[in-house]
Amino acid sequence: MSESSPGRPHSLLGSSIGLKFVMGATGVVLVGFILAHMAGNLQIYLGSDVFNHYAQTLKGTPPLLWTVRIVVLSAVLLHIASAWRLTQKNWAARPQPYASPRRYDRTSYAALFMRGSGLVILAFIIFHLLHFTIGTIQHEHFVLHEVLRGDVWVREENVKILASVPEHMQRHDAYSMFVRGFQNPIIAGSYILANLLLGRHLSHGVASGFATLGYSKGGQRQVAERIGTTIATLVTLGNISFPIAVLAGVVHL
Amino acid sequence: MSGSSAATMKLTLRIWRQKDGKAAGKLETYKLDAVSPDMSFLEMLDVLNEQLTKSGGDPVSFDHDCREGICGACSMVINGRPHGPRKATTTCQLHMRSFKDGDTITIEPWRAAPFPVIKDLSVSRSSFDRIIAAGGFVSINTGSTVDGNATPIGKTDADEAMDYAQCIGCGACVAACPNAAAMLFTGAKVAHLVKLPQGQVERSGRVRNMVAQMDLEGFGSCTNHGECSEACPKEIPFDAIVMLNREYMRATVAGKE
Repeated sequence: MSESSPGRPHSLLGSSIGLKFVMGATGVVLVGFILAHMAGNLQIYLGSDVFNHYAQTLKGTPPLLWTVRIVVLSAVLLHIASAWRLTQKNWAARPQPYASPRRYDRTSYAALFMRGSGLVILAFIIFHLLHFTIGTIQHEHFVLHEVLRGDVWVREENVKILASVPEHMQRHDAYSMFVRGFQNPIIAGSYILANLLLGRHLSHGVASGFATLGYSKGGQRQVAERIGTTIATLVTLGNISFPIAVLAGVVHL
Repeated sequence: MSGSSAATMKLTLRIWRQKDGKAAGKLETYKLDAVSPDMSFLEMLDVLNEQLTKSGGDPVSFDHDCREGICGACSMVINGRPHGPRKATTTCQLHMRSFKDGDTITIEPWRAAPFPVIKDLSVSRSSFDRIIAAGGFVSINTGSTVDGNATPIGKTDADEAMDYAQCIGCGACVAACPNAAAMLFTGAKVAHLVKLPQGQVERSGRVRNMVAQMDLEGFGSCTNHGECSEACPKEIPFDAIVMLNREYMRATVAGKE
């Protein structure tokens, strides 16, 4: 009955479980990035010099910066593409819905609304890149720079002075961009909302990824679920602390 | 009130009626006046069908066979749950004492594209048979009887294989899954055989072919909700899906023959 004869491999990416592996493997990459991204940003609490030095180091190491960017962007695209393909297959698998509501006993809202939270996170990623990476949104904060005077970095808002200072004597004032950005309550609120949803996405996604990649058998399932909850909690608390700290005045110019 | 009438229940049934695979179906409402709490769910449907037949109506079609919870034929979603409200219980082993006098009970067929409705509550589960035919077997030499303990099997492996082998192929996992996935079923079959020495010969080809057939039939994919093992009347553990993923990875990514 089978189309493929015994032992003949069929296309991994054409198969449901193959696509699930792609979801899981790209998920691992993305969770790794999210944790590193959060850890890096926690340096905001160490003051402007540490934070701007961090930003300067990242920008000053193009091979690292671009490798990470390309790997993460590919992972995002593959994650979305396989989610889209799997969703199509899942919808096609039940063309006629139940006439009376299905009663669920085990699953969570986080699990049932992965597509919704995923779409909001996608919209947020685009917004976030336009805000802090490309600088289209709040461009006036994006152009802020510091210049080196003696051996200290000082803020310089005068465009004419900046133009006269050589490249290696000035650096992006990421700290001020960060603080001024979150002083806008609508921007701060959107970051908080997006990260709450990211936390829900991760709470199901991480545990789910473990199962897909084959680690979730017997007692391991509880371990996987705990790791998922821990990562989701860390990421949510860490990331929403930034706009809250700025709004509360704990982190200021 | 007399003893017998006090013991019976009045029920309103909303049952999915569909003439054939092509017709559009809808929920129809029926009343039953004297249902004994000691009846099984299928006996209650027998009473309804008797009533329908006597009044010249069309009896409700539903699948049933052993009526003792081991064949996997009975298949209906009762009040939004495959096999109804009781855990680890098939529809035929569900008794009317699980319901209250005056209850409204909604009964629907399994909903999945690979389980097309034949009539009313009966669906075709031939897609499951084709998944089994694709790899759910072992090759053995026929001839003289093999010595009883010629192939020793460890206790834990034997127990685990038996746990997975309990699957009766009813399809409740597919009906319960928000994605209509058949991965608990396929996983149970793969895991059951991989735990036994007899299953080693076709090990890699089995998982590849069964998954290929599962996809070909149009089942969805697991998103790890865990509703399947919750609805399973034989309590096949969710581990079956983890085993399926492991075996598939071993056969494809690691390329083991």
